[in-house]
Amino acid sequence: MKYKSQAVAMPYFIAAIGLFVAQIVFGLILGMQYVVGDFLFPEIPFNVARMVHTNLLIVWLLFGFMGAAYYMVPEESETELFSPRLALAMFWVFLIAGALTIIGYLTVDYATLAKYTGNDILATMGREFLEQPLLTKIGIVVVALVFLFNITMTVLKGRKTAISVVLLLGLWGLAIFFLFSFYNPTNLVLDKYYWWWVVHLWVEGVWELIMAALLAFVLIKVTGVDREVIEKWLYVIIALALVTGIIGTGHHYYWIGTPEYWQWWGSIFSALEPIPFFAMTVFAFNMVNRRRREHPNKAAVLWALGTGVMAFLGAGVWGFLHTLAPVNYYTHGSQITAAHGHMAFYGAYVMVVITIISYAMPILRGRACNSPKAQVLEMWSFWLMTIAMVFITLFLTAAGILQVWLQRVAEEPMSFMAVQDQVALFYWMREWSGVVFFIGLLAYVASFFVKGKEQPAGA
Amino acid sequence: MFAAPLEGCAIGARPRIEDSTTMTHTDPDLLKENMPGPPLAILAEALFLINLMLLPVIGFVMLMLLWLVHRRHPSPLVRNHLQQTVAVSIKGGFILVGLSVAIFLLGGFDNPWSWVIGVLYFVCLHAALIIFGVMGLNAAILRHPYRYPVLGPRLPD
Repeated sequence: MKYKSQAVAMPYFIAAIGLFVAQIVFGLILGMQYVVGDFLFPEIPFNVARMVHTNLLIVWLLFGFMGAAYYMVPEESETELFSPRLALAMFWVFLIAGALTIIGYLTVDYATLAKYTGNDILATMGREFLEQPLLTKIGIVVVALVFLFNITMTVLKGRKTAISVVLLLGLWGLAIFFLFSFYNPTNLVLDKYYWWWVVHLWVEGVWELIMAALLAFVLIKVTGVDREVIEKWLYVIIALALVTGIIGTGHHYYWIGTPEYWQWWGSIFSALEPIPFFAMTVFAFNMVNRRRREHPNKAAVLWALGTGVMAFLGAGVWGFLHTLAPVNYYTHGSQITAAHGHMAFYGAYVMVVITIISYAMPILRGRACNSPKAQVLEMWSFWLMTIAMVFITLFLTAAGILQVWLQRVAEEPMSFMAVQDQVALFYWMREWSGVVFFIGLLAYVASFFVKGKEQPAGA
Repeated sequence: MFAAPLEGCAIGARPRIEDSTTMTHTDPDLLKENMPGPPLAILAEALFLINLMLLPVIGFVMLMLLWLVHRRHPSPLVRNHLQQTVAVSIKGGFILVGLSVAIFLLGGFDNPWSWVIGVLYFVCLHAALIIFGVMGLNAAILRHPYRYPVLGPRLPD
């Protein structure tokens, strides 16, 4: 690697992958609970498994983003990290806080956890994705602030590039919008209104900036295309993402008690939200097609291209599928939402984090690229996970359409639980697709341990 | 340093596509430098995607007009992209809209399975056509010929 301090990225990447495995294990448990209701009950109730599954997703992606920043910023800024020690210290703080939170979820009932972690002082718990106890939320803020201080100081003392500035903008946005998780008004409409300022403005706002910066960085490295060309694409993509994504928040405001004009604003702007993802797909293909060298890390190139395609499908196409207010009137909160959520998170954020890990890890381990054998296994894992995710999405979409019909369109609508029985076949097929996904993930982990003819750094 | 091992590790430097794609640090030009391909070919691919994503029918009519005016264009590359986009728009449109309508007519609008199969079919095929269109657009931008998988007419040898 070019700068010694980039090495601090490695523990972040390892933790991210470990937590990813745990997330998928809980995903499989959840998938089984959809069809066998008392599976692992009372040890792991459905609501707890769901909370662990979604919280682990967020935490491991944050580990991935932080690792990516610690790897990228020294190289972009052409200087050592401001404080590698601080970065390592925060790694342990974040890991321990995260682990304690998950242990808390699994061992203590949620109300007791709330009681012992200060929720009566400032009530922030109980909301989807933001279930973390107050102490954990404060911990996240501390870690984020120290991380941002470290990264910002590094950028300030070194070269400023469009990629590092866009990355910083995304990371600062991530931290700032998380602060709305502390605001929990008793009015349910206001509560939901600001809850989306964390959830939506993360995944359809500032995270897109982080994603675009990571993708741009890897594409510069693996294609050899001039930085100026890639940076211009980056400007276009982030402008499109922010123009469409910020007011696109309105697609969450249709039926929660907000004024009706949100149905127009939300529909129009979120109908445009696929455009930045479309631009990202064109960008990834364009850069790889005009590459000026054949980079030996084929797996990283594959992940980069896959990110472009799957983000467009998951976030763009499946988002558009149910984003217009007249459609959403029927599909709101159905399995169609789950289908979109799965493919969008995988395509946009899981894959981009794996892209940077795939590119950076061999270098962090002292080689320019992994052995061909290891890369073949990694590419197998790419196809297994990606195809499995496509099927998970298709089965959940089918379940969602049937659910909407039986529960909301039919002349004699059925109850929610009665409909769940009717769509069980799709849940079973989703579960089997999940098993294939897990096998793909194990293959990915195994690829790190495959020996072979490696190309040493400096060869 | 990082650059040295990477170059040593590289299987081989790839020849530049065209000299005109070379960027300079002083005067980068988004349109000329990023899109060395013929504008008509790029326009054809863009209209193909516009028809699928932004302005259905209107995009198709514009593409047909473009084809009518330029179908005997001296550049084989322009003819290639015009022919591919027009052919795939017609065939793709037929199987996309025609089969979707057939699914609903045969299954009935009040049958939930018509909606399950019809919506999934439409979304998957529509998305596949867009992805193929992205590849076509990239080929046009980079001055390469392109054949749409399955639906595109064969390229002359």
